[in-house]
Amino acid sequence: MKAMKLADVPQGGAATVEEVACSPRERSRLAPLGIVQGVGVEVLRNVNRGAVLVEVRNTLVAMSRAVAEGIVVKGER
Amino acid sequence: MMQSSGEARATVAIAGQPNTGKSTLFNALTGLRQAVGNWPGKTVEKKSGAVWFGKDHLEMVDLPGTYSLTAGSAEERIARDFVLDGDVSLVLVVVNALCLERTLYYVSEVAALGVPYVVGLNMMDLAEEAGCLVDIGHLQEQLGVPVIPLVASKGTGVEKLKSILWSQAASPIANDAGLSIAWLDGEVKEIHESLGKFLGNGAGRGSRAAWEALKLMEGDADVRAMLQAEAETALQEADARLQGKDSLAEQLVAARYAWIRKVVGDTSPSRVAGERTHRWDRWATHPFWGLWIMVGVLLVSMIAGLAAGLSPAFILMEGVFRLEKVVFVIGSEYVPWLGGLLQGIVRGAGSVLAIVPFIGAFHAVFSLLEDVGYMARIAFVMDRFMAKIGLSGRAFIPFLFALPCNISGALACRITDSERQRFLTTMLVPLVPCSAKIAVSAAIAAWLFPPGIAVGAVVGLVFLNFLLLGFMCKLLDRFVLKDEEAISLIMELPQYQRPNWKAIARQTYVRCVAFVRKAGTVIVAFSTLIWFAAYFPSGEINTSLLGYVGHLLEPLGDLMGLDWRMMTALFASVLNKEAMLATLAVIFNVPTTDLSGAINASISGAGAITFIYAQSVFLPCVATLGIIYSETGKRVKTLLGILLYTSVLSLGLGILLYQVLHLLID
Repeated sequence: MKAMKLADVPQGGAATVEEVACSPRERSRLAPLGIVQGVGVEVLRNVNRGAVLVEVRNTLVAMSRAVAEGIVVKGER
Repeated sequence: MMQSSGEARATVAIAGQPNTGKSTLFNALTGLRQAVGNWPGKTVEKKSGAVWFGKDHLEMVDLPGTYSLTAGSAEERIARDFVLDGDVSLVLVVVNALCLERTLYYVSEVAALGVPYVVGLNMMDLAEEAGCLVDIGHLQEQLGVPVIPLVASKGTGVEKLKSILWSQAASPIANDAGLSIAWLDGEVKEIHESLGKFLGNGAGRGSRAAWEALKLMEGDADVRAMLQAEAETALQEADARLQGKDSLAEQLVAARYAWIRKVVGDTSPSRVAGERTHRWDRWATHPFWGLWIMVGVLLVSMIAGLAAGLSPAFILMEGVFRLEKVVFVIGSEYVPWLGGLLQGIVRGAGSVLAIVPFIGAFHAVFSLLEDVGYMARIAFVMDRFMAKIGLSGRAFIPFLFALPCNISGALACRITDSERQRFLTTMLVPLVPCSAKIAVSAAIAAWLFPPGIAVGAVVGLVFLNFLLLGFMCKLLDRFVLKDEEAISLIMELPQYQRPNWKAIARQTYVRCVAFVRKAGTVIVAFSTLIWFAAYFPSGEINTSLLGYVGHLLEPLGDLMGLDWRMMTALFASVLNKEAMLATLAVIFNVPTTDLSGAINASISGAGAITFIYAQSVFLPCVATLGIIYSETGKRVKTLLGILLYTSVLSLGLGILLYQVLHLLID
């Protein structure tokens, strides 16, 4: 249950978003896609260097690794 | 154009997030007659049409599909400015029954704008299939506006929606609850109300002030700038009130989602991202297999596009060549230069026409990839590589479109997700070798080398082009855009779906029409100019203005191992790339079939390789330049930039290449 980055959640893992510590611009694009504090995400695709694919509120959201580095999560709901 | 029987009764804007079926619904409501253009002063597509009720009609405007209405992009600004300042009686917000929570976010944005709205609840069939039952009564009660269930792709519910739009546009349910915004709650509500009262100053600006207050709390730069200009003291006072309240934007997002949960109620959608999507994505987004599947899909797409589009293009081009000879003869009988001018116009207009089946075939294939949801996976797979040169995976799409023809690529730069990406992709599209450039390289390589080496040379050349593209991107990023924030990939991957052939056909048609309309005017104008240069004053390219320039450039040509004839051909290729061989034949004064011998005799191996390279990165054709000019904000700067870097790359690097090769092989 420790805090980590979304980019560090292993593929197939689940997590709860603690904080979206990205730039305001990125934050304002993540919010309407459902990625906000308190939401549960499932990590569908996460391998070194590639983009990260998560499922959140029944939507598949792809984000660059750099974005996933800025999202703080609590692992394994 | 729309049929006009008097003024529209009212204007209805259709809005919503991407992947809600908004465009399908817009098409179902308005039918085939649509006006497609640009938003004033913007290079963002504007579609409008009419919804008919007997002899009366409503004007329907399709707002750009965006996830929110924060001023993050040109599209978002357009959408909200149109609703705020335009003459909109009603907004139809389309939401996706499968992803209700996410798509209702847009409703929370529209609710805050203070305009009357109704909700179109689309994709009911897929939602039912996935076992996710939406309680429409509850939704309607919570939102306080009509909610109409729809299956836009099958037309289900569209008639009912029409009649509701009609009655609502006439006497809408007001969404001007003064200062209060439905979803605000708790502390943020108090802050908002006091700020709104202050900004509104009691003078009947209720909903507008409420919206301004909300956007100030969210830290919206546009609204700040607007208030700065109009009411500076009010802004200072507002800032003082908001001082020390740090996480307001986060609290507001939380309030939106709390409201959305309440609105959705017990509708607990089961896991919806369908099994099929998950099963396919295991392969399509796989770090290794995903890449190879993409390569395979793209290869098949290219082959299909070529197979379908190439022969009609050839036949049409053949016709153009014949016609231009006729008009040349006729024109020359009156005034010597008139023949050249007419020939130029025919060639210019003809090459646009001839390439339409070709463009159409590729756009059909690309539209299919988009429609089934695969295009987004390509962006996902490519993000890793594009990130290396400072672009996001989405920026790969315009480059892909540029392969058959740079014009398509320049037009596709619209889909990128920020001004910065759009500028970079627009600048770099000319470095993608278009099919015409590749064909010319292949033809010359085949004359010079044995087949195996020729194929290797062409593949190597395409690869080199993309390397240069990456290098230029880094350079521009570093020196031109040094201060701008790089925007990383953040995008939704839509569910895979069966191809909707009608939608694909429509999309292809719309893109072809856009191509002809855009390319037509600019190309004919530019072509005429250049053909004039190629035929004035003597009627022959050798002794024309262009030939004169070729002679002038001979010293430069010497450094690249090219004589004046090759230099003239290189410069004439700006007219259109596929005519390069025809031009060479004219200059060498031999039939195209004997061209290989003539060229082999006139330049060395090193010179020939240099020529193939130089033409592949030389200035794009006038058509592409014209489109780039009309598609970009910083027109002159962009065009000059392109002219400058393509000249340096082709001529400067060409000299270097020749000198090295000359030492090695000649």
